[in-house]
Amino acid sequence: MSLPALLQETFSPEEVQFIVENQKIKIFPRITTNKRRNLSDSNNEGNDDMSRWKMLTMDGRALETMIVMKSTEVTLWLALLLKQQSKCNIIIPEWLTVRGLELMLQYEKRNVDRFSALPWDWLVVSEILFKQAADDFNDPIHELRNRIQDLKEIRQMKVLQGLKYLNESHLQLDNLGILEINELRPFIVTVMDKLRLIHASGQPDEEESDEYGEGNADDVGMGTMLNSDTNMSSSSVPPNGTML
Amino acid sequence: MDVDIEDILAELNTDSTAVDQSGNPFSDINNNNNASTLYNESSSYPETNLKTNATSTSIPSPQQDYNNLIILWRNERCAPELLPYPHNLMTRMLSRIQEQMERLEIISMDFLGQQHSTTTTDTTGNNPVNNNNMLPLLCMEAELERIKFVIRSFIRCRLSKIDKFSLYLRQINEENESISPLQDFLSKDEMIYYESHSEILLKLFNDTILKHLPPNMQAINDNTGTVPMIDEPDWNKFVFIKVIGPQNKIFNTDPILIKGDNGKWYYEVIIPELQERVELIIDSIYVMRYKVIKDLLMEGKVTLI
Amino acid sequence: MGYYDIDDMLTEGSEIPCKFLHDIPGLGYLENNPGKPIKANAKLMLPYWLAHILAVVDSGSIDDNSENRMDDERSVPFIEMSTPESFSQKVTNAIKTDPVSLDLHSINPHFYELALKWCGLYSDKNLSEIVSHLLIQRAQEINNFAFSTAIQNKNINSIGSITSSNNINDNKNSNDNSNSNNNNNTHLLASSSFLMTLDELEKQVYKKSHESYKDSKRWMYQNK
Repeated sequence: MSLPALLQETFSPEEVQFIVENQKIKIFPRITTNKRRNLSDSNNEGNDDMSRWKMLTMDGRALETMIVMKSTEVTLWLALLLKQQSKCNIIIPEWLTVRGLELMLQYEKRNVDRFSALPWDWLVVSEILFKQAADDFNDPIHELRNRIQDLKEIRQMKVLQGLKYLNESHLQLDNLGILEINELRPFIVTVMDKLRLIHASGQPDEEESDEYGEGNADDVGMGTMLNSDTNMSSSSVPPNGTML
Repeated sequence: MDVDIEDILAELNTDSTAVDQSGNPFSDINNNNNASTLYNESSSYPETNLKTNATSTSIPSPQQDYNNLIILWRNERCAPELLPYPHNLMTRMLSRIQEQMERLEIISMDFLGQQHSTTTTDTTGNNPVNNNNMLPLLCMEAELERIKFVIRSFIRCRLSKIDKFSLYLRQINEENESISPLQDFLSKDEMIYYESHSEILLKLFNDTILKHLPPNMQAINDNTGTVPMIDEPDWNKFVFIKVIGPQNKIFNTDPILIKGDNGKWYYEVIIPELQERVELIIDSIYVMRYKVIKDLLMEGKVTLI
Repeated sequence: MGYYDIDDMLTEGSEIPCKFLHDIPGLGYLENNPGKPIKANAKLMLPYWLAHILAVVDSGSIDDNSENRMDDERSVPFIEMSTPESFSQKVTNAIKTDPVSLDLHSINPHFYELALKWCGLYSDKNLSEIVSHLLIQRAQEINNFAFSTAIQNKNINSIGSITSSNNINDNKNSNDNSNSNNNNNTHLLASSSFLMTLDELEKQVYKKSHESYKDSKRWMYQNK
């Protein structure tokens, strides 16, 4: 099929990474692009044109006005690309330091039923930067890694604990990261969908018809044949009802 | 895997100019909300509501369009139903891709020419300079690949839903001949794809089984049984949402946004099946039944994550 | 779900204890009495797809003497269903005492699906609550398993193949490594015996979450 079954269920971690890479991050450029524009008066024009950045997903001006060691903000994927070319250093975000992570860890330990306010992309950003920008960290990477691992585990424990609150109504999951959400999605959705159906099946029929008849005219398509399961189990089987 | 996305992308590319010239063919339909299908209220969803600061006349910037495309892509991937095709946004997006591809071609041609002339004079000294000059090209190429990836994945996802709901789409289309929402709902190429796909599918059903059955059992959707034979989206499927709020971020201009006692702003939704009210607080993340948040989704006030 | 859903069809094959409320000519073969009628009050196991219709359908059209029907406190359907073994007191008690170690698969491989149908038929709120509770309890356990088997490395893949067996690579992998680690094997054994107790829905839950965790894990590793 045009979309693999697994991707119909949730995003792949690579896709999550892709989403996260659209976020902005601060860098120290190691090149100056600004200067060339000034020089271009004396240079030939073709050269200038060629070095212009015409970007479609971000403001190209940030790239055209880079000055060595003067911090600027670009999207993460571009920062990584420049980094690969040794054209910049990435400014490690405040939270991704031993001190920052330690604060989060303390919060996680103090609050048994809450998640600390780590950025939504914390797990992805930290993994990417550990791998691709290791030399831009001031703190020793292994210390950071350990803390990330600790955070991951303590939060995972909370998630596993929290799953006893699965229900047929809804959940609120504040401060859970995108990768955490993404890996939990198939489980949560499958179980909650089934709980929803089980709950509905135990309701008296009037309520059931009420719930589906409730909609207004917009709901035509929905109302008529909503959910096969509940229809199926309703006792109003027509006299000639044949299943197969 | 018979669908070559490359082809579809190419076709969409060539098509885009045609749609451009005719202005916005769907603008009247978009404003028309007397719809009787689930889709219609949403026709304006991708175009008008996701626009950020722009006034109604100005064209959204490439960045805005890209950010909106990412939102639409994630919505499409998470939603149980097929969402409306963002005609205007995609037209702009595809023509920009086209332009960019041409631009990149010119630039790299220039480089080749330059390299030829420089290599003869000075091989060593020119390398770093060349490298720096190449940098914009490198970045622009990488960016283009990223945009193409999103569009491909977006279209793949839509095609898989068109496959899955082929008969269902056919059914609602037939039920609402007068409005024919499908035109609005699918891109031109998706429409062509959908039509031939559902035709092939029906032919297969007919040739292999149905024509060998007694005439009264040949219906593709025999409703005398209790289970509909045509699968429709699971409207109450649980989805993960993030509450965004009004696009302009000025909370008190949104009539349905409520300020709680604790100073937090929220939307109030009702789960009819449970007769339960839920407060959806701005910036929070919920797992919620799709149908309950569908209207907010169409208005861009929540996104699927 | 839906018309063509195989699990749904298999669920409907579950047998339900039924009692005939009429003498019906020619049906004696159902109780090994070919040629004879089946008697009222005869008890038989019938598949759900048949039973739930016969239990609802008005048999008045057969009785034919429509005048008397008002006296007959309305019409009587062909059969009466009684609670299947899967939802008997014995089972619901077991669910209440220890939902997690229950061998649900041996009770009914399509336990939840049948419960859905049964609850819907009788609007049985009580049973639906018991079943919800059961699913929530067991889901946690399943999730723990899916998670812990995904974060242990390598040949754990083979657990997935017990339920899915759709991945040739996985199988190969597990064969290669099967003797390499005894600890892992005992763990495998323990978890596989747990997996054998899952009903079909639960297996799906396991499989989906296991794959998802494994995928994240893979990404984390490749990033290192």
